[in-house]
Amino acid sequence: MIGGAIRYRGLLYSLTRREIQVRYTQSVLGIAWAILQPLALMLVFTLVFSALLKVPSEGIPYPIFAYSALLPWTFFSSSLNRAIPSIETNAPLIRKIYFPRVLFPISSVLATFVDFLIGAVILIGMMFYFSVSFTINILWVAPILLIQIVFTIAICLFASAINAYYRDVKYALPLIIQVWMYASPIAYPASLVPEWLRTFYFLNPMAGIIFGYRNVLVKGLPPDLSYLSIAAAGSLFLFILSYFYFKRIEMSFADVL
Amino acid sequence: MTAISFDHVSKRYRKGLMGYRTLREDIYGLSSKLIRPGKDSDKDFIWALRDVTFKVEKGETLGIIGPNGAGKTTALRLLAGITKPTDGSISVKGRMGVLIELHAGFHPELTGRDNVYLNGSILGMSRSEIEMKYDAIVEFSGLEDFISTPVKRYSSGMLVRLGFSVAIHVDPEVLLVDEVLAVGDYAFQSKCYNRIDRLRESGIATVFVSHNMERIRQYCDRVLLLEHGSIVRQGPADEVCEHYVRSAQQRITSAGSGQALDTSSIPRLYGPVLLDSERVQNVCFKLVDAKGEQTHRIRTGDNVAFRFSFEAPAEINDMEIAISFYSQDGRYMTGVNTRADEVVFPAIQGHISGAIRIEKLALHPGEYVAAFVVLKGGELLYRDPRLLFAVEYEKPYWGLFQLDHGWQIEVE
Repeated sequence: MIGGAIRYRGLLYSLTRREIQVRYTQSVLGIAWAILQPLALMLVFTLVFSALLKVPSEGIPYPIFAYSALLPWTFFSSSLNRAIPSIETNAPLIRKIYFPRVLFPISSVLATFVDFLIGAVILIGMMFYFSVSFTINILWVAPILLIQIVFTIAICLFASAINAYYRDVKYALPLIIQVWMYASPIAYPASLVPEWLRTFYFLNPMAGIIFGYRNVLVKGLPPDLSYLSIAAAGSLFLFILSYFYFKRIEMSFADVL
Repeated sequence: MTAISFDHVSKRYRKGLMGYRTLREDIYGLSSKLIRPGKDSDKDFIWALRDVTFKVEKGETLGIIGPNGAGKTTALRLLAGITKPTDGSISVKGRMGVLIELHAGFHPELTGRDNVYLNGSILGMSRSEIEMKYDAIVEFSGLEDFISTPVKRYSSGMLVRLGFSVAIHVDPEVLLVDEVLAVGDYAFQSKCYNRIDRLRESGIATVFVSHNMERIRQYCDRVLLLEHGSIVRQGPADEVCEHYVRSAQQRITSAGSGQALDTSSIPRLYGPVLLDSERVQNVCFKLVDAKGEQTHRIRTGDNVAFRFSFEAPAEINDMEIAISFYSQDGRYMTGVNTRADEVVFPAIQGHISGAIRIEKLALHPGEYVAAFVVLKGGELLYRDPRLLFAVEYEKPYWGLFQLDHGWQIEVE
């Protein structure tokens, strides 16, 4: 796998570049779309959850409370939206030439990561605007981001492989993403989740990841290590599982697509 | 040294819905299997290849021919590593160049330049390698002026040119060529073949799949004939190509009389076949030389004639007689037709015989097929592409046909 990664890094780079180049051609707003989605959701959430429903935000201004979670969440959900159909949409290529098929979903995730970086600039701007204090705990972003990427790739590998066989995956995806979002502490603080439900709640790696981001970015706290390690262990386990699953069935993609 | 070895390879595909299945269909399939256990019956599958074994040495070019559905494309896909064999093993040594559907890796929204980089890396070149060869690639394609244009604005010929240019610069040790070069203009095609020629001379192993017998004979040292997924013949290019065309011929002529044949099983190399026994019977169609003797071998520039005769039991009005000429690989060379020549028949019946004289035959050396055609008011009554003949010529010749010509030169 490592050898392959080095051998095919040029191709991974080209495929990722292609995704980025292609995504916003023939659109007026272009790359601005990368930040419009989390920003628009932030506005809606601020109106609905904060102004109308009075959801508490642990003393943090609600817009940045929401955006600090929406930014990584959008990275996750957009990755799924793009990477899961990637085997199917690249069928012409898959039928014509061999190279490791994992490059398709991974390049989709990497291309989405560029959107995430652009969105992060907005976050930093907002942190200044709302005078959030920067603490040393902000360094935790790196390991949390790593866990998120591993988890995202794990889900994308598994689901994109199944989608090559059963398009049901693609059709179910919008619903799953929606439900998943409400099952993660994005619109509301994790502290609202009742004590007895917490262990179960944090079995969802995205819950631990989002909770972690919010702690280290806007609250200036270290992440909750027990929840984060559940997320880390779960992500790694899933990654290994789905990588080998993907490898096992990738040779039949050309026959079923 | 062996570059490619195909060892008892079989490939099986599932019949019916390939791929696009929903979970429900699979659950249904699974539950019916639970209720009625047992292995999948052989009827559910198609064997695209069955127990195929061959080797290609370095420096050798192997041609694969056969009718549609014989398994040629499956063999190439297996060689390219796109799909795995159901049985048997395949080994390919060396960097592979794949000239199959050349622009598969292109993205329509990207410019020619971006696609060169993208396709190059798909084909296994590193970025620095592509940078090094970039100018040569663009020059070869002849698309310098369009290289900053998104390829969605390219014509299909331009796409093939760019695709080929990238693919050929991979410097392969093993080259797989499908009939991709059929597209693109003549000048570019010959440029491509020259390039392939040079690669072959440098000692790479090549597998070449084509319906074009001329090309196969020209390029291949050895040829495999596939039919229904099995090798039915292999050997020197000339011998196997001839066998293939003759057996296709035989199938055309021996496959019964009365109505149009089921053409799914035969390559429609020489147009439709129709043997109407009611209205056109006892057809005799032959080639004769200048002395009037029947022959199958003539020379370019000869005066020859095609004689025909047939019985028309019922009256045929508004009749036309036509003869079509095909090269052996199925290229429609030329044709003659009584209506076009304003030869008008009254309503006729009985025994009809005639001939068409051809002066200074313009066909170049090669093998040709002549089809005898009878029509009634534009409707096909009889069409039999049966007459196989060879044209010989010992002097040098160029291009597609021989002009009837004379020189006139004055020096003052």
